[in-house]
Amino acid sequence: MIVDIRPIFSVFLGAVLAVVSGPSADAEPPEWSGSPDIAITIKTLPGMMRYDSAEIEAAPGAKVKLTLDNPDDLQHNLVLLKPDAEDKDGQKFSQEVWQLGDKGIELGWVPTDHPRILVASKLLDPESSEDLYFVAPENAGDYPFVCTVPGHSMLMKGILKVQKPGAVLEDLNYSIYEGKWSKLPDFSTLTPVKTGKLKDGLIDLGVAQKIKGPVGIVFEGKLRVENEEDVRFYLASDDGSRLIVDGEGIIDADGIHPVTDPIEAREHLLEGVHTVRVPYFDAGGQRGLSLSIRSKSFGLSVLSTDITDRKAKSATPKPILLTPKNGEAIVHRAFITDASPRAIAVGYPGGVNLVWDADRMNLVQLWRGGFLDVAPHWTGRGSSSSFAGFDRVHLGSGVPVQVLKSLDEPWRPLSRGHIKYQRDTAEPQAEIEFDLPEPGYHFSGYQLDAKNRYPTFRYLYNDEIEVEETFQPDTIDGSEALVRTIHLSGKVAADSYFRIASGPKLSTNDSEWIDADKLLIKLEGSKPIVRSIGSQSELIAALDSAADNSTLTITYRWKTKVGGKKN
Amino acid sequence: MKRTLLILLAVVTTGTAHAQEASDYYTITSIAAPEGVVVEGGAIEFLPDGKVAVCSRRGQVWTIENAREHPDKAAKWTLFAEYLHEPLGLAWRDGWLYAVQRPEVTRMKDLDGDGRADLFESVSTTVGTSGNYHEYNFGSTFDKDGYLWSVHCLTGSFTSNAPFRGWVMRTSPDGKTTPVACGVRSPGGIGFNAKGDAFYTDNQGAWNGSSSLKWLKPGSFQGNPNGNVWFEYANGAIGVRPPEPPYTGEGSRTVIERENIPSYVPPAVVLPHGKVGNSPTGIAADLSQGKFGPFAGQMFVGEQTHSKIHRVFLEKVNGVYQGAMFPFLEGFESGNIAVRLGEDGVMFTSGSNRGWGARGGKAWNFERIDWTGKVPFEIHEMRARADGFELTFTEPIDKTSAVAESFTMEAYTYIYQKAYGSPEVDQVTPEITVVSVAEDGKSLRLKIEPLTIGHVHELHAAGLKSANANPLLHDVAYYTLNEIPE
Repeated sequence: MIVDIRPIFSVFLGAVLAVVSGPSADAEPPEWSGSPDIAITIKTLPGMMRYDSAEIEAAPGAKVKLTLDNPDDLQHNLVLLKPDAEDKDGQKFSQEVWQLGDKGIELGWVPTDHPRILVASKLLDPESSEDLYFVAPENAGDYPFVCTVPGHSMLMKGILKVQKPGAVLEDLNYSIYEGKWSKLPDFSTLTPVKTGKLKDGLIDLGVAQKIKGPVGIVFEGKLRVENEEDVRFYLASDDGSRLIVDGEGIIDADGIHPVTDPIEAREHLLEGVHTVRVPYFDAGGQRGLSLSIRSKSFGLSVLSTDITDRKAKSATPKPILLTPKNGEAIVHRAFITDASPRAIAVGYPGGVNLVWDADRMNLVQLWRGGFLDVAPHWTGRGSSSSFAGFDRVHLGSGVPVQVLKSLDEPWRPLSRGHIKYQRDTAEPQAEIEFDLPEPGYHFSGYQLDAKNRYPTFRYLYNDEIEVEETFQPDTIDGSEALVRTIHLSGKVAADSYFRIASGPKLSTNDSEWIDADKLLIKLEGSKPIVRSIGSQSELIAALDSAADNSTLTITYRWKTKVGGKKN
Repeated sequence: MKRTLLILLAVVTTGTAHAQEASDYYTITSIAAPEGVVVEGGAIEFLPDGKVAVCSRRGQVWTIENAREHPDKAAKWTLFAEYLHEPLGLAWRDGWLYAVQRPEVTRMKDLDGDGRADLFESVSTTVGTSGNYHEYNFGSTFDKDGYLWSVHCLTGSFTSNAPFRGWVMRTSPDGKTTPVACGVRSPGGIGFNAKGDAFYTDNQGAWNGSSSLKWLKPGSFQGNPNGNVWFEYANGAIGVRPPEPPYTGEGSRTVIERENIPSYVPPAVVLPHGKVGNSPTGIAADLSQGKFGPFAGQMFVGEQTHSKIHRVFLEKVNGVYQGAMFPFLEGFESGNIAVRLGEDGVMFTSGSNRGWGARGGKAWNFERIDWTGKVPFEIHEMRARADGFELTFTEPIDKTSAVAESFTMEAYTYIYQKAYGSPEVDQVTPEITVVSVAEDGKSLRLKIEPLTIGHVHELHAAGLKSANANPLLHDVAYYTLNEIPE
């Protein structure tokens, strides 16, 4: 993460471009290494073949400490280049380096005496980092940086923007208030618990670091405009904030919410000094407040120490939403949060979605609304898909069937193995834990029906009893619902039970519906049993050991109506 | 020195005058996919009805009509299945299309005849997955005995966090999966040579000084010990756990550890890292009996980073596979992963640059390679001899160019170590003598002093010419010498 990409000084060095650290790893850090004007950290993103920053900034002549941190499991470097109109993003240069072949390997893919190189790291092994020191060029412009390991530069690239330091807020004062709000209060009627001044001219939530829990802060400073011009403001916060310029509300980001994309507003500012006031509150949890401006003379300037929103924006791929179409279900095999790696997500038309776990042979999650955003899965090297809907409920993650001698006997935990072994890592003898197949259970697969492509899941229980599960989406009283049918083809042992849910707060009342968090659950084919084991509550059903076959029908419905998210 | 340079320059210039272009011999044709479709090919299979099946890293499986017909005939794409989890293996047998995907080996069937699979059966879940993106599973086509081979990447570069990560498995026709080899790091493809023996490609990294093509001798240890912890779960399928290679800082050499670790099989053909590529992938043997040109019986290996396909000649010496890698074709549009060559002499490749950049520059490719019918002047085979190598050629050579000065050779090896990769080490510059040239000009014998066991012997033949005065289309060969024949 970039801690601070702004120069923390305002003295320009008159020197021409001076590179004080060459590509050689043996170069001595300069005298000023303990007090650079700006410290920038660029990380490689594990598994993404990317740097975490595509754009960094420095003032002309700034003494820069650039740390390259490589937590990825491949070798990487970083080579900062002089601009070239023919090669704005350093790709031509990288191609040139690749052509070095053998020689390139010897050089760690850095041809040290190449005239375009300003500074370069050595070839960093996985899990290592290097500090580079250099003086930013005097000429403003875009200086590309790349990883020159063959094949990497197409994705591992970025720009060092050398530009005059942008605006800061003069006479920046803050006032801290204690209280819990869900909307911005009128701070002028309240008494601050603390006030102070921010010398760096940057809005900084660190002033209220010591106050845990809810807090309110008002920042007030002055923005000096040299030439009359249009200025764009960008505001983002967690929770609410507002931007008031010259007493007029410009941006409203009030209310309780996580950091969103910055809200943009344009303002025509006359030459002179303008007051900038930012009231902010946090109702608890994470905090964030970032304010930036952009104009012809300022360039893009961040007026806050917090720039998380911009970073988050540049690192998140565009969503790729999977949406059931043509009345057909989507049966998607992917890594899914809070489920085993063998889980299967199913999205039905009408906004009912589930995760059925092919390791545990059980329904583990339900949610409604949108199905999945697979951008994290289909971008980079691939990670878990994200949920695109809401009102997600966990139904537990155990195996479905068990013999219980008494209703006090706990459900058995998942099968996990533990093993210690000699590894190449920092902790060679660390024990690892891993999933083992659940004894007696064998996943057989699934079949899609001809009409809707709804899946029927099949597995073996006790090595021989064939079990089939089907799901039918539905609507009950205007709420999304799902009817699940479980059929066991074979006799089960005496005292066999099927576990329908565990974990959520379950309660029975007189109705046929069992209350389960955001859901109501109804059971047919057996009597529902709600039991408490420790802090867990469980919904189980006895299976008939006398019958040749067993069928359970379970209906799940959300308590609130469609569109009733806020109710 | 200046003089030599001038002469060399002259040679090169003369060469250029008659320059052969790879495209004179093999053409690369991009097969257009339907609009909006992304085909990040992970594997390609030929179906009995003449269609070509390709599975994408995004989980779709397409069947394509007319892909093998004349390139001008428009291909017709049908989405057979979708939403699998990064399938990197595709194999057809008895009416089922098998896919090796992250969670399992699956087989699929279209029951209602609408061209889309309805039935998805889980064939094998023996290999575990911890949920790490690095845990790639590659699958072969069916071998001559009806087995499907699959090779399973480690959890990361250095760890094996789920059962049989870093192992090779074989699934029998009746669905039973058993371990067949261990010691894998990060595979890129798995397949068979013309004889039907299994091979896979493994990427440079820990315990792999360079990427290479490796022979999957049943019961073998392939060099990376991180997955060997799972011997406890292998029920003796491939014997007892082999001794560990040394974890010491300075590392070892493959030739030394072959002595210490009886089941260790050294790389059959090293693909020198950085020089010829960075990431070898799919494997295809040429069973076209000449329909794909003069290389019948040889192998082709995909290269993702450099967007290339290599050619490999293999021979078995003293019971161990070894051989030479030659450049073959480059200029593909993206990072080749799948490579498949039909008995009809049509080759396909498909891949992507997602997460792993590639020279081709496009996000993905699906391309077809055809032989034009013209024979390029190439080194056809490079065989080890007791005192050197025997080269054969696709065209008769100009015997006057068959002189020692036409050749140079460097031999080197890599450190066998737990650290990531290795530089080339233990360099040897042998002396080359041309011992004899065959009457028909199609082969010659080189005496190499010394030959070094365990070294890549990198041969350059810039001065050699064909009887038609052409230089070699590719004048370099990399021979991995595991054994010296008697």
